[in-house]
Amino acid sequence: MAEQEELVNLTIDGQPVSVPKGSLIWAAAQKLGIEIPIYCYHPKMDPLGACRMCFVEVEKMPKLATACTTTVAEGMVVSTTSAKVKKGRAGTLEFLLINHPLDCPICDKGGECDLQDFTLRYGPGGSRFDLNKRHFEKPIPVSENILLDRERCIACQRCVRFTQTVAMENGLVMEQRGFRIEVGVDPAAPFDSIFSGNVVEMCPVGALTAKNYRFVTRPWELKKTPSVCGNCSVGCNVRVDVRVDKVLRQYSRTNDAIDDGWLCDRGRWDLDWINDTERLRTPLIRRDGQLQPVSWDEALRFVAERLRAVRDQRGARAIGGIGSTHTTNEEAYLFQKLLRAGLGTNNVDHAHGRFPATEPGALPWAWSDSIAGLEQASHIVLLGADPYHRQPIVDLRIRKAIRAGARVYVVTPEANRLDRLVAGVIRYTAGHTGTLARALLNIITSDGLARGEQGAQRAADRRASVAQETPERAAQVAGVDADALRELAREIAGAKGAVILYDEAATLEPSGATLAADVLDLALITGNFGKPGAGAGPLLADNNSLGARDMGLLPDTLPGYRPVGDAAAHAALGGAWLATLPAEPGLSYTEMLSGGVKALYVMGANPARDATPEQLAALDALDFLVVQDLTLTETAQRATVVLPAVAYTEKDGSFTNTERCVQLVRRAMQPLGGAKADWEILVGVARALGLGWTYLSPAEILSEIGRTVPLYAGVTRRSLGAEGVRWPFAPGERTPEGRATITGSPSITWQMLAEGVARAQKPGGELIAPRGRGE
Amino acid sequence: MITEEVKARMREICARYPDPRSGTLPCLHLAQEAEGYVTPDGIAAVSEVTGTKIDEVESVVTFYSMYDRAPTGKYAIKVCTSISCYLRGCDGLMEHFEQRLGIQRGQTTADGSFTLQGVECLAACGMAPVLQVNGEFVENVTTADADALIERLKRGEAVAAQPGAWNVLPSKTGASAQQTAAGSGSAQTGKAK
Ligand code: SF4
Ligand code: SF4
Ligand code: FES
Ligand code: FES
Repeated sequence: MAEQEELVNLTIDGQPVSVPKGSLIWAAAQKLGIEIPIYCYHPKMDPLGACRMCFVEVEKMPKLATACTTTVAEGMVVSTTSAKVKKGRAGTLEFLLINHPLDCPICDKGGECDLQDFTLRYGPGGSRFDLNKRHFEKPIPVSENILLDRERCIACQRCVRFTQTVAMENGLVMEQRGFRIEVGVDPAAPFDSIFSGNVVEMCPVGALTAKNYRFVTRPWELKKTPSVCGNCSVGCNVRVDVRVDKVLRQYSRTNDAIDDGWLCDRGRWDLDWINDTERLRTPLIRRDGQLQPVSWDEALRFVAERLRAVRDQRGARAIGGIGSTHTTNEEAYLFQKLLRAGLGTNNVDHAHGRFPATEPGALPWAWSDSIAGLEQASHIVLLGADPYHRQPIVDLRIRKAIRAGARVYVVTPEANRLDRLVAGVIRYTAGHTGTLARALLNIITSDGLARGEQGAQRAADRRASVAQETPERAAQVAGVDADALRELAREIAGAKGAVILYDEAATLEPSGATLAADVLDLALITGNFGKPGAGAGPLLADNNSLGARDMGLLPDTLPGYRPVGDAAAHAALGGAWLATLPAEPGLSYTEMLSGGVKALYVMGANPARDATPEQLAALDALDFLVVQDLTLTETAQRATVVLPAVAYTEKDGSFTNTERCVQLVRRAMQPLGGAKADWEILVGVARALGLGWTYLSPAEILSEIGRTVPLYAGVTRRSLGAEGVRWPFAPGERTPEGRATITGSPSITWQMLAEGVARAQKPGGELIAPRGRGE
Repeated sequence: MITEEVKARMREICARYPDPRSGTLPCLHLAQEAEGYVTPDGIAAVSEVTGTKIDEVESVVTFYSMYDRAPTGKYAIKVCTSISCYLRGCDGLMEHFEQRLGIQRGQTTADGSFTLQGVECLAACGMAPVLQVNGEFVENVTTADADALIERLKRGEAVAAQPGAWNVLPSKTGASAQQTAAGSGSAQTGKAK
């Protein structure tokens, strides 16, 4: 149980309120829904007290107090509306406007500007200042993407504090002082951070603007939709801002458990692919060697005919499907359902595919803790991971953990952006992440570093399998410092809570086949498991990398990781799907790309881009290739039929992020004319095949997932709420209206492990079997 | 160039504090002493030694007017232009220096002997108007004092007539603090206008 927080009672504008001891007056007012205007204060940063906008009157205090720096006290009586407060606010605003150019009509911030808004609400109507204002060359670039209008800056220092204290990167600094003060960049330390865009969002005025947004729209023309970033596996919560038919930017919608209120520049700005004028607007069928526009009816009928023909002539095993790590759970689910139940094949996979050498029924790659849990870790180890470039907002959370005192070890082949800030850096030859993990296991099992009964048991189980994998051997093959590994192993074994993270790409290295299980064992043996701030997990690549697996885009497992041969699962799923399911495992991604199938259905993937010459030849030799995508990708160029799909901003659905959080994606704009969402296309193909699918919306599909996939038991669109839920789920309390709810699990515990996390596995099996096959 | 020897002295300073960052200001003084002004090299060295990022050091340098970002003349005269000194006539004093030296504030005389600068509060407001010559204070400065000061410096004499005697100019020797505080200062500076 959490300790009972001590509450402090006070009144603000006559209304009583109780808040935890140590809260700021600003936060207490916030709780009552009373606005106290702020500029320099930002809830995610330490108070500064620089702008004097947040004045309130506190009884028995001689002068006005700043609500952003004054903590509450028992019995405090606060006024935010007294004559003195009004005068104070008006005075501050008059000062702030002395040098302000008042160029709102041409300022991009106009309409969503705190200076404009507060001046209208609390400011004086005019100014007594009739001398010259200061002028600057405007605007000047402070980075590749951001421009600064110094005249508009009110020196609140939010941007500077963000880059220096939150991002801990080179960035903006205050230069000079007094009335000469300005925001600047040291040419020797350019502002090239992937987190830079946050300063544009947090600048309370129009001083910092994004190059790609300047003079493009006015805020009131934007349609703003709460959703989830569709770029990487972090799944930051965003507000998608659309003007008519273009996505202009994503702003943060602050989910403390995932993004902590920040976005990376990729998520914020890399949206051009959605607005791409080259996007497909009509289905295409190859005729006389050329892809030619056809109607949807014709295209769907053609796809069904050809798939049926291949099945009838060559059998269902001649058909295969490559799904996507970008499409929604609903679409991934329908895709494998179409192949398994509709066409009768288990030839379903996606680019990353199974984590190699995982025991059947095992799920060692589930991140056993959460992103927010990193803040409570005493140690964080990055094994072959580069979150700054691949999962940026996880990197930002690691920086927060560093500020909270975490000892971070960066164990990577290449220089890492975090090197400068961490307790230890270990380098090794690329391709050997797995070797290092096993060497760490070797040290821990042979030096008696196991903790706890369960840890000792598991150490005994693993000792023999890693007996040869000494740190000296790792030094030889991977060029790593053996003593550094020893020290690291001791740090992990002695940690209050260590989180060990690896990039999923490392599991595809020659040495990485058992990496996921080995890293989980490392955590289990050293007692770093089952509590917040401890554990093991992968940093996945794409927005729905985990969802794709969860939904069964794998040749050997049904949705929820039930083996394709599992009789109970067959009975249950086959019953629900009204089909007899194939029991043989299907072909993997690479097998399908090596001539294993005659007809290939590709949804939202581009295997041709990274294909070997042999794989390209095999793609060209296919009898039939259907591709669903936004543009004419390398793969689509080789297709027999191309079906135009839409981006995540144009449809509803859900994504599952790298820490098991299932979140809702909402349609933020009209789908591009002529294109359809992947789930709609799949329904169309199924109907053309005579399957009688009747799904009308992603909500309906998700409810079916909630009924048929034990891992997702109880999931509905409503139950996911605004901030998502982490699997494994448990039934929650019913709402007053009697609706069922689900609760999630921030971390996976020993008990869940023993019980088989979500009843998702074959009866009696473990969901997470933390053994690899590395022996 | 910041030599290894200077860096070693910087490290020594930083070692005195629980956090080496605290040594930023004294280290910058060393860098300035070594190269005459704070160069990008100097900033890089201080950043390295104190473990502070380059841009943060830069920010500190721009905040304090004691650090010069360009070469100065033999004598850098820094006249305070903040509020107390303003009320006690620093504008007139500054103009007087400009005329006398034939340069604008921010400039250096052609012979390289004097640089004239306006700076923020020197924390000696009680003795306004105040100036510093190469870091040494001169207080309650009248235009006559200014002339005398320039003459002394031209002759290569020390800033203060009696080193250690609170840097009072010769004309003031013997005058009690009370006398100046009693308002004669104001009359003197008034004359400068
Ligand atoms: S640029 Fe914006 S955020 Fe930065 S100090 Fe100025 S007003 Fe504040
Ligand atoms: S970290 Fe990933 S999910 Fe978050 S904003 Fe960046 S790209 Fe989007
Ligand atoms: S918001 Fe309180 S002083 Fe700036
Ligand atoms: S105002 Fe000049 S010393 Fe303070």
